[in-house]
Amino acid sequence: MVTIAPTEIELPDYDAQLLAKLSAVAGEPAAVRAQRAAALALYRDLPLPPARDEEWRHSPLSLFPFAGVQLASPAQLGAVFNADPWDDDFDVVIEVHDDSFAIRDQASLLKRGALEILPLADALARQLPSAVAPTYRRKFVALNQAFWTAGFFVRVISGQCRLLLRWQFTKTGRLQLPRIAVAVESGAQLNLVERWRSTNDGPMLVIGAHEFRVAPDARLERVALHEWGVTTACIAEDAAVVGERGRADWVTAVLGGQAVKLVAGCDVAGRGADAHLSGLYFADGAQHVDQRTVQLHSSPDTTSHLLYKGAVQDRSHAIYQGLINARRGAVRVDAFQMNRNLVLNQGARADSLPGLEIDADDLKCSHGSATGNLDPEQLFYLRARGIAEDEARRLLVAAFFEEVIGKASQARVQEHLREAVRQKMEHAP
Amino acid sequence: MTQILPTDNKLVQDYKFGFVTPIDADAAPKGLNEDIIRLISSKKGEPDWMLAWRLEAFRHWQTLREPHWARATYPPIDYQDICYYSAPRQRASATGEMDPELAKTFERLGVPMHERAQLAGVAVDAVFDSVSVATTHREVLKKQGIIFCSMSEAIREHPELVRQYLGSVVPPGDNFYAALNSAVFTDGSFCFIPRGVRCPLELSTYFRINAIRTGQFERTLIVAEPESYVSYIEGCTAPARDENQLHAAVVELVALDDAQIKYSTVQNWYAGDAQGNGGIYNFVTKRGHCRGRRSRISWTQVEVGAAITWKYPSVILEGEESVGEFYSVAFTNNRMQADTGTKMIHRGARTRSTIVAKGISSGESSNTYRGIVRVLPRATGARNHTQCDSMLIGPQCSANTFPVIESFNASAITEHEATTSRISEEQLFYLRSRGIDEETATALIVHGFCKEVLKELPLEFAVEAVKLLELKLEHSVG
Amino acid sequence: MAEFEIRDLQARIGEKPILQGVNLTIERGETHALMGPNGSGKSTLSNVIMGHPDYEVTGGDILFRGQSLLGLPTEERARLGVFLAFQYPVAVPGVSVARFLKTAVEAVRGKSAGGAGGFLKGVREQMKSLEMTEAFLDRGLNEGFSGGEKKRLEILQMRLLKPALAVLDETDSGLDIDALRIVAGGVNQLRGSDLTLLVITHYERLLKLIQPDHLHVLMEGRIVFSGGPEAVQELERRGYDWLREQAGEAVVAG
Repeated sequence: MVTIAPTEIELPDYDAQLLAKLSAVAGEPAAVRAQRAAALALYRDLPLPPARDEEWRHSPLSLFPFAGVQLASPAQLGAVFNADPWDDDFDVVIEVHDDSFAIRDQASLLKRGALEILPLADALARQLPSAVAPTYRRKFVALNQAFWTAGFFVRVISGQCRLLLRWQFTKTGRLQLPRIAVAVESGAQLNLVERWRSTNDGPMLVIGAHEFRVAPDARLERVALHEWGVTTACIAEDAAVVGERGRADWVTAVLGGQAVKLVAGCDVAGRGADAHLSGLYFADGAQHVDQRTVQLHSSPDTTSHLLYKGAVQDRSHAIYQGLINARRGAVRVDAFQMNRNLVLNQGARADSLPGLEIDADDLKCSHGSATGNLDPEQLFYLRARGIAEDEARRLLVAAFFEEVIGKASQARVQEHLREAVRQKMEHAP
Repeated sequence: MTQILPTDNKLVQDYKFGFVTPIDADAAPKGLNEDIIRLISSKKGEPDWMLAWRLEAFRHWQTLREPHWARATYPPIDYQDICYYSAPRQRASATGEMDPELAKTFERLGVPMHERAQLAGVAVDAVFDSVSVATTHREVLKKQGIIFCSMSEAIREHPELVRQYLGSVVPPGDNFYAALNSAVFTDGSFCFIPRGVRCPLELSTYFRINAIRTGQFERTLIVAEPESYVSYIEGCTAPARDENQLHAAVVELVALDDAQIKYSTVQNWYAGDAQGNGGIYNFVTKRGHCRGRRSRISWTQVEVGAAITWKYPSVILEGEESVGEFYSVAFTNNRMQADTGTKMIHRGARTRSTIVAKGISSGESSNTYRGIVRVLPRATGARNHTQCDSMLIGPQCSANTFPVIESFNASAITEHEATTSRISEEQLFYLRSRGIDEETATALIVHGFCKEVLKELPLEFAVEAVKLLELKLEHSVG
Repeated sequence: MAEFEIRDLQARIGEKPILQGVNLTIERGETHALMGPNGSGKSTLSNVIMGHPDYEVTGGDILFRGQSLLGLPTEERARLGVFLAFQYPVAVPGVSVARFLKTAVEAVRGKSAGGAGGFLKGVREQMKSLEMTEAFLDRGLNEGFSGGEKKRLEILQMRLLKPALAVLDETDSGLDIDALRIVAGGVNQLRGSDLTLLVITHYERLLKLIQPDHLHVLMEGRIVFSGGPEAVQELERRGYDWLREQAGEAVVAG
């Protein structure tokens, strides 16, 4: 039987002394320090997930280089903004480069008061209700809430905002803890694209925790692109709460990184709320990609639709764990979850753990999961029309992902994802 | 007609099998230690190797922790407050027939044991508390070289076979309850089907718990030699009591080249009352090993009883082109908690597995499907198809589905589908518009929902299972 | 006493009123056609007659042989002799047609009707006249049936249950002309003084095959026109708009 031997590891001592140092460098006010301290207390109170824990069983903590990284310095407002061709498609761009950040308000949304962006410390100091993190009893969320090194508070007050967040880490041996808190107010719309990148020069660990509040009748479209370098490991937990008649569309793409463990949870909390979660992942080399999704239906008349599609090649390993949870009384819920995996060569591995946890009766919830290689009949058909096998495989893999790529509304993002899939196929064994 | 389960449902109010047989018992004192195990072993006249095996399992058990990952909550079990051996004191009879009190019991359960009334197409091993009290049709079977007897007898009479296969599918230390069973198992059935023989009868074991504060730890082992076939049926009931009783069985199946084993269960242990008092804790390890090429093991279960069910009949698909099947109906009402499913471990090339699980939850019950499909690197061309459907009747129940699908092979295909929904208003309305009352309409729809599974049961057994299901539904609708 | 009478019937689904005072009287043995544009409430009316739980009756009454159907469970209505041929018969996977028919016939006409040895024989004969193959009996109820197959099965049920009042809800929808002829023929054979019919349809083509004695038009939850069979052609020619105008005026005038 193949199981990963449980290896219990010890994490470095993330303590009050370390936290005091971080706050001092950042020059943070007492209110912010207090919130960090509370999160630290929670972090220290929570046990490490045991190796046999269902959520961590497939991704032992030893995959993440805790011992080899030092806490990064807090990010400060930098002098330089490095323009990027992507910027043209957005109203506002936030750029984070290691420990410096810059914001460019290209459509004057900030100036006009339609949008608010604050460094997280400022938002916390002012006790803005949407900036204050909810308490999740989650070990690494608590670690992030205590030690976040770069954080932003984004509030879309009215109208539509297209926001690009570019994060780039180049300093090796660092532990980075990015954090974003987003609120989309009633009737407003945010189209957010996050690009997470790092260099390939040495170990880096990123622990993120991001929160999204979608007010009644508001809309959030979010695309998160994990394009980490091959020596970077990442743990991130994202949570959204969608209010009445609100809608959230998430597209998470995992293309890079040595070991990536993501949680995307969406509480479809208000009557009439609707969430669409989509995922694309393509692992190669020795990549390890573990994703967990939660579609939480806490109110009646809510809908959610999930589609996660992934491919594994070389010696890579992908894990998808999904849960639809309909709480007691959440009637007339319509929830769907589909996971499809392509295992492109012997030696690669894909695990699928879809789940339903249903405590209400008048509803319709379903899930599906399918794992296999490319369809030999389709390959044969294409080859019978004169298409070379490699090309036929590329075509079929591209076709496989097209359904999720189409969930991202921006043409630039779609083209980027198509290109990423093409490049992965170039390296096919 | 073969009647494993009573059919007359007019008299049944709640649980018709809840009676107690007034019979003296030869019981071990409560508690679990090496002396008790020695006592069990000596009562059964076992050879030394068997005792040593038990003691090793017991020592291992002491290092294990009770598993709590299932969706079930219950107070801690005091393993020292359980009696591990209880045998009815049978009155000797000149003809060698069963004690009349026991005969009456099995007759009431629909399993007549005496010569005249014996079921025609079925050979029955009757297990009462810790011991097998009778086995029918032995001579017919013996002529074909089939061994069908109690496990205690097999240990004495066929030690070479038992030693070869016992624990070879479920090792003594496999899990907490399997280790406990290995240490204290008291009886169960042993079936051996020789090469090329197609067993002419359905083999069946009827398990009856009678004694108070007694656990039942039976052990069943079925070995099908190459090119043989056997269909085995298991039924179970227990008295209605306010206390919880532990049933921790182990079933091992071995299928060699081209052999086929069909294992069917209708589990109707006492499930406790409407408030959740009493009932059997059904913590069972069942596993089949498709050891030979083209061998086939099918589990079919209809689970309608027990306060808590923790049971995952599994198949290890070792031989090339072997086939594993799991068909399950789990019905829960009142405060029942069922956590059941299967594991299909694909090791050999071109192995195939099918899983069809239907859960029906009503009342305040909780019904969970939990399963693993694992395709290992050597299982080239393996296939799995899984379909899990849950039906909810009423707003206070829960239905959960937790599958795990692990694919290590690039040429394997796994497919899993699951749905959860309320019993359909549209279907109910359509049937009622044709004059069918709500209860009958519900039963029809549930029957249709379970049909894929029920059709896998041996025909007459299926008829009984349907009636039992309808009976359970009568108290759950409206 | 009329065989079937609808008095000032008002019904809604959720908060939305659909029937807003329907009046209709059908004498025993008569065939009435009910036409009307999409969304006029035709299917709601048929569902309310049968007691569909999604609809709430907020006023009025439905009388069958002088007895109110409101408040009776759906199956009681069926046992009294009311039959609805559904527009979209729902699939009930796993329940075979044969088993369903036997259960229904026994429920409506008593054990002897369903239990007699000749039951299946009778079913087979009826199936033959509807040009249905025997293979139907073993299939799941309406499972994977084509539109035509579903409608034939509805008419087969009608013939087996022998209702006194049958409501055909858009039985012509989704049928090609051959299937339509078979289905209409199946209905016509039952017509006579014992069967009262309400034929709900969108198109006059069905009414050419099942000729009504009276015609009604339902619009916005009310009967806005009643006339003889000759009105069918006029409706076909002029559409519903002129009625809509009339109805509008009537509302204004009223």
